[in-house]
Amino acid sequence: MAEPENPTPVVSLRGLRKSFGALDVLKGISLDAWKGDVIAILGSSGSGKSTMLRCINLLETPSAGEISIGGETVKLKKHGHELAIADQRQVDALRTKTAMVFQSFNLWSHMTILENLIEAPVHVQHRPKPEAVAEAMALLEKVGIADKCDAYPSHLSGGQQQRAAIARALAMHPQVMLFDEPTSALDPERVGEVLKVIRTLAGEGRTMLVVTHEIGFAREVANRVVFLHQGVIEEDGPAETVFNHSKSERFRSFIANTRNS
Amino acid sequence: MIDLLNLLSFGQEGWGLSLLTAALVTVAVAVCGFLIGTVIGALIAWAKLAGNLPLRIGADAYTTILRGVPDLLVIYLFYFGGSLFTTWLFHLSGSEGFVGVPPFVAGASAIGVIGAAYQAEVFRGAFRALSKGEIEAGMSVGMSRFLLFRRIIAPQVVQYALPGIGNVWQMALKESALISVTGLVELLRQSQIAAGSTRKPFEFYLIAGAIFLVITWLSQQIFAWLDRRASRSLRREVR
Amino acid sequence: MELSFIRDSFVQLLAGAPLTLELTAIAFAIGVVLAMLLALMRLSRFAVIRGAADAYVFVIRGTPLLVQIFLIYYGLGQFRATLQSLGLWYFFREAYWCGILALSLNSAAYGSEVVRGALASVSLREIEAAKSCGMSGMLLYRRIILPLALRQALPAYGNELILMVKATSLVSIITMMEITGIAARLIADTYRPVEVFIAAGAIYLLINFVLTRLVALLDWWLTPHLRAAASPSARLESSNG
Repeated sequence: MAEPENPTPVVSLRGLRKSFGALDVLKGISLDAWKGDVIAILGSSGSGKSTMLRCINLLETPSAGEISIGGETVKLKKHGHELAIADQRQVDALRTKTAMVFQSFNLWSHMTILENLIEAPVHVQHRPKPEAVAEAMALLEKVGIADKCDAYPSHLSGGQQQRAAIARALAMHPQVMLFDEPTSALDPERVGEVLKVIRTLAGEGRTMLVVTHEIGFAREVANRVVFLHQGVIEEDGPAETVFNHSKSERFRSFIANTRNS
Repeated sequence: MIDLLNLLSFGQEGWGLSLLTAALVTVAVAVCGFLIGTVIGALIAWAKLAGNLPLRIGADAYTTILRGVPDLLVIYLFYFGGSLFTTWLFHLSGSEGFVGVPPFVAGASAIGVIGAAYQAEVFRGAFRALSKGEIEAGMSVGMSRFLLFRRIIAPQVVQYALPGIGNVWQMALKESALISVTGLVELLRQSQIAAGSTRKPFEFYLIAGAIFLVITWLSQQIFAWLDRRASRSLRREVR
Repeated sequence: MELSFIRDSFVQLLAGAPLTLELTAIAFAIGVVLAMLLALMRLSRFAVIRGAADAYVFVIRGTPLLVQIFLIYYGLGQFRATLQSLGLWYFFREAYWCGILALSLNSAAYGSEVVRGALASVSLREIEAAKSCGMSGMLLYRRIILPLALRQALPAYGNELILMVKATSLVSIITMMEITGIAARLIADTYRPVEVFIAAGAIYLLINFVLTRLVALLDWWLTPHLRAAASPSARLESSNG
């Protein structure tokens, strides 16, 4: 775990619950992510890992509990038995601090790659366009698709699209990067190029939460592992400890099953 | 052939100028109707997609009725019904007499109200073609509702809807010929007048048809150009 | 607004319904035949035939139906002498026949687009399978392509039928007293456009509703392969039988 030299966590969840109708997906999650943490979030499908990530970005509104980003607590209000967003402006501002990378890329199909990258910096963060363009080009260079800046998303392979989506997330200068199964929708031969980019980012000391099925990658890159089972955190600790000395029977069988598949 | 050219000449004896003016009236009434239809159509589509149950039922009833009833009946309703309404307003202000609604206004409104029923379906289809993921991506970077609509949703809806919008425009253009029953001197009415006074209906209806064809062709070119521009992002790159 | 007046109008307008239905049925039937002919012409090997059919469709679809009706009814009246000598005047002097002619020619152009789309939708694999069994030419068309295309075209062609019902209203302008013609006269006599509109609109909606149901029924009857499968044993029995 990264040293908490700065006493405020980048992301802090307290008693987070989320249900869809009668289905309880998250049953009380508490988690602190500190600056520089690279957290691999593991769990079988339906364990709630994606929902947790989407709550941090406020794409889902929690049913109960508290979310803080960079020490600022999201204002929620009672709405029947559920919670609702109390201050949409605050949410919009916090979202720029938590950049999301989606499983299916979700690049805006009517914009070129470069336009995708400068959209949020220019229109949401109101940064000067020339600065945003220069930075976007540097980011595209970094993820290795600078030559595709004027292409439209549909002209790119899945791997290239996901790298562009990562660059789009980086362009907002987020405090934390949220990856929601970033390689699940890719052809096997395209997975490597995206993992390489994520690995580089981890090496730069960025704070990242990565929901993934790539156990090997989690083992190699993450400094901390969180294992979710049926909406509860079953394991949370340094990657090395969790992978090699986990006391959880469920985690050990999860790892064993995933390896075999 | 010489006869035809004489009929069409722009001088004292010819009908060229009147026909040209009438063609402009046709385009004007069609454009106004089309714009009215676009606005109402967008509202109806919104009611169908986002409205509560009564709104949705109302919107569905609107499209069912206006797509099931002949356009000519709707035009009669607007022309005669509109005049009743304006006369009633006039009487409210304490005056006497009959006030007719101008045929242009009645015609453009009728075209608009009919077109809206089709436009609503076009918009709804385009809206449904939007990718949920792309909208989520917009929300995830902190776009406000308005910004999301302006930068992500609207451009894509227009892109998907453009071919359908082109069809609705062609319908509006052809419907404008029906407005001739209200006495508005658009292309067909002007041709009727010319045919009556020269006793050459065949030539003049042929000419009217030809002018309609030219307008249709021109608008097809414009829509094809718009479509090429709007759908750049959908085409595969040609290498 | 008076309910009793709407009811009276409804009864009077109903008298026009037979003519509306008659015009629809005759023009639609001729239109379908012409549409198939046009669609086949547009698939022809000869550029001239293809071009002629394409031009026809473009001209008809690019001009208002009312202009076409006027051109045939009033325009051809100019050639009365010629038509009389050809023995065609009895046909062209009647608004009824001119209306039917214009409606069928118009419907043929729109219908040919539907047929063309349906023919194009027949999969090459099914055609290849038929060829591999030794089918070709008319046999291939009659047994495989047309039946498949017909099923494909039916829903869109049902739409054309509704458009035809609506289009028949235009012949009221050349004096035919079908539903809209009677409606126009009622409005002029009574000056109660809203009530007459409600009554006439109700009749049209009723006609369209019944026709839509009938087309849906026909579609269901023609496409047993798209229905939810019956129980396996029932399927086995029917294939044995």
